[in-house]
Amino acid sequence: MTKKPNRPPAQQDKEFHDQLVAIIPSLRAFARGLCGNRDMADDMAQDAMTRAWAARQSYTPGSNFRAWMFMILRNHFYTTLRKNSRMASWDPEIAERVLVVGPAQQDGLNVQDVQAALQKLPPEQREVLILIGANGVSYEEAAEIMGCAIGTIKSRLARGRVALTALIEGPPIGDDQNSRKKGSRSAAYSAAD
Amino acid sequence: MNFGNKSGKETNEASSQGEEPSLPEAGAGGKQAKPVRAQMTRNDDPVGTALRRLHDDVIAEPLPDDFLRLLGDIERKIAGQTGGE
Repeated sequence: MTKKPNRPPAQQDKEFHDQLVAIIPSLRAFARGLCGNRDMADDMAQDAMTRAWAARQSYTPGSNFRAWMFMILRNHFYTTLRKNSRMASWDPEIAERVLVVGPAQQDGLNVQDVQAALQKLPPEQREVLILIGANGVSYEEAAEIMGCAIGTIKSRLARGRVALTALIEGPPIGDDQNSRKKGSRSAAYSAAD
Repeated sequence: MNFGNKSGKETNEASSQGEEPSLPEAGAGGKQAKPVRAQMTRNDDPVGTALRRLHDDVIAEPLPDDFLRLLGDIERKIAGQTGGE
């Protein structure tokens, strides 16, 4: 870490502002993936921006701004998650209904199905899938953002992918409704252990 | 599988081989690395494709007014700071 200036001048604030502007789309996408809800995610992204602006003196110019912003966002997310149980997961009943709507579309998986399935994963698996699989950050950057080792990132990614695939693909066709849900969930959660 | 970008260090927690990390296929134990993102097609990895589409859909959305207002507030603070100096 380089030495931080005592007080950033207006030019540094302007540069910080420009970085904020540039990061908004990615920040919104990360928040959307975490929350699974557009309005809640946008609120969270704005809160993260406000917090970042208030704490801009703690940011070291030239360091990884995206990682810094994503850390603020995820810290805010987990703090809110602990305070507000409704954010523990997207409504699982809604997610379940979405997931049984139909098979994958011809041009790929239904994005809504994937979003719904993501919300059923443990948050640490969900966020690593979003960061690396969706946002395209490196293992190193994901480790920095999540505050863990690269190996942990890799194992969470592998488990998350298995669980997500199990949730999306579900059991073989022909199972009755109950065994379908049960099988799908047990496969996913056993993979998520 | 091509989740992730190039990574350096390796740990013993996850299975991976070689310089270029790759997300192991389910049950594959990470035995084969497909290093380059360009190698992946939709048919290869529908989950990865859907995840990226989720991301790209949000990126493509117009910026909501709330964000513009927030940025406007910040810009006014900067302008005030500049004017006061």
